[in-house]
Amino acid sequence: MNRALLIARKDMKEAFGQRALMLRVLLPAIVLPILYGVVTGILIRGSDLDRDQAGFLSGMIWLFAAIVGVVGTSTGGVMAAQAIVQERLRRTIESLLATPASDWEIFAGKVLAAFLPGLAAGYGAGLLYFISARALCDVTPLAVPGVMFFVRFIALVLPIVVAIEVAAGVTISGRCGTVTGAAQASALTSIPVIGAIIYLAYRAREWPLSEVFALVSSLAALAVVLLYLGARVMGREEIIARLD
Amino acid sequence: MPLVIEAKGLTRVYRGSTRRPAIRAVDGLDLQVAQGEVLGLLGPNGAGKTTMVRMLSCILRPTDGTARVAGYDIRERPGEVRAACGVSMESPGLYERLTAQEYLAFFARLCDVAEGHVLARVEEQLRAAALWDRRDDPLATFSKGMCQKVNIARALVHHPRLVFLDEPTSGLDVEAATAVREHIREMSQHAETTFVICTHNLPEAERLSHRIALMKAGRIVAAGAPEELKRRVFRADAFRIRLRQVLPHHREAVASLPGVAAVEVQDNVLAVHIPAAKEQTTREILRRLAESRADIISFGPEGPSLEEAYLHLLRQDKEKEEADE
Repeated sequence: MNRALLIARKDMKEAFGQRALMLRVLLPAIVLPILYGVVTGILIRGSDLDRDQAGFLSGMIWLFAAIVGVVGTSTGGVMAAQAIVQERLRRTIESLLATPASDWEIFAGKVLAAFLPGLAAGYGAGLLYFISARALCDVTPLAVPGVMFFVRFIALVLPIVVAIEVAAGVTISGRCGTVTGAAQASALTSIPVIGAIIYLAYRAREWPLSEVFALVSSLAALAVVLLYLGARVMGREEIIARLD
Repeated sequence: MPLVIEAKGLTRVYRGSTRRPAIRAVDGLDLQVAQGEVLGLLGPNGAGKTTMVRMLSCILRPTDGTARVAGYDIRERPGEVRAACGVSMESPGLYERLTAQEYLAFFARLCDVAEGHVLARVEEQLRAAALWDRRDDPLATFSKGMCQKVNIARALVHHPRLVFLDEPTSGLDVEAATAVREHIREMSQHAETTFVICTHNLPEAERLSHRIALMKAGRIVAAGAPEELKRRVFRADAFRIRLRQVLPHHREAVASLPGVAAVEVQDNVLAVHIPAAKEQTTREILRRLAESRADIISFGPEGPSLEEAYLHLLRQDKEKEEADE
């Protein structure tokens, strides 16, 4: 695990040093939540009743989920997309493969390097959403669905969907020939993932806890399966076969 | 000396597809390399050198055969084998946003160098590569020669028992290549470290290696000390005569002389191989050439070059193959 963390730390350092990549990741991660936060704040301020405000906020949950989901998965996806393909294009991958790190450790390192920024970006986006609504419109959109909803959503659903996106992204990255191709393919996989997160946020309030639990468990199982498959197709043999 | 590499029947077949046939890159290779030895691995493109290095350093699995590297079976203990090896492949990229120190420290940690020793090892390698003053500079600012030195330093930073260097001076200018070669030569002075150097540069292989193995079509067709290989091909030194222009009858005039084993023509040089170098024979060669109106520029005895031996051995193997068919 120590080696996976080392690889993840190195990958993040390399990625954070790329201005173009950071712009692509940070711009939506900052602009989207602020924009949505302000829009939500303005809309809430416009409705004069607290009851209306509560009802409106309740209905706007999907928007919050969409922001957090889009920012989290897109950040993770972009980072994951370049994980292997960039190393292959720059011919740095063989030095990594020649170390005692196992196939699993290399895969875990790559996944972590995309997962942690993805998760951080998702959390950050959620926070920015609240801060901008509060600071710019003097509104707290935490009111109605309940604090616990946000906690559950943030603590449970976001890590799972980011893991799904990242596992798919790293696996795709191992198979694609260019960074752009990997990013595009990764973006395609994020569409159903974001759809699922919005649907989950919107409908979960009406469902019994057992059904929510079942859906979240299914997503978690999907993440595990994708991670397992990713680790299998990311062996040294496969990477070298695509290197030559 | 204990053996660091013991390969037996090592084979690697790359699966084919509808577009390309299967390739037997390494074909039943047997190889033994002793501790402290510097082995030069020569061979034409596609001979299987890189595949062999990848198998022995556990980057690729063999299709068949076995090998023990640094005392570990490559199939059963790949992690231990990789920890015991340092690998520098041809023209590898570097993590350009890391500094030289960060880059080497990253690989030292990956290779399980104790945290307390990491910085000392990094310093040792950067000083040896004469890059200590540039330790805090991003690798993106390094020249190609400096990058190659960093790459070699990476392969050595964890003090491996066995180091594989694939084309260490490929694509470098003369000055950078000389510096890298000198760096390797200094590193290879440590008797406990074994080096396997794949190269197309024959003088480099001759200068650095204790022993040379010649690979062709996935097999080792000849192996031995450079001098031994040359002697095996040409039983005697060559007497070289540079002419203004070599014509066919010049060659015939010399080849028909008693005591001459073979005559080769390279550019405008006649290389006359004489099994037992006798003053009388060389005098006779010059007389015959003068008679056939050859314009002699210079002449003198000279040992066969490794290049000649290399080409001869490859030709010999090809002829043998054709005869077998």
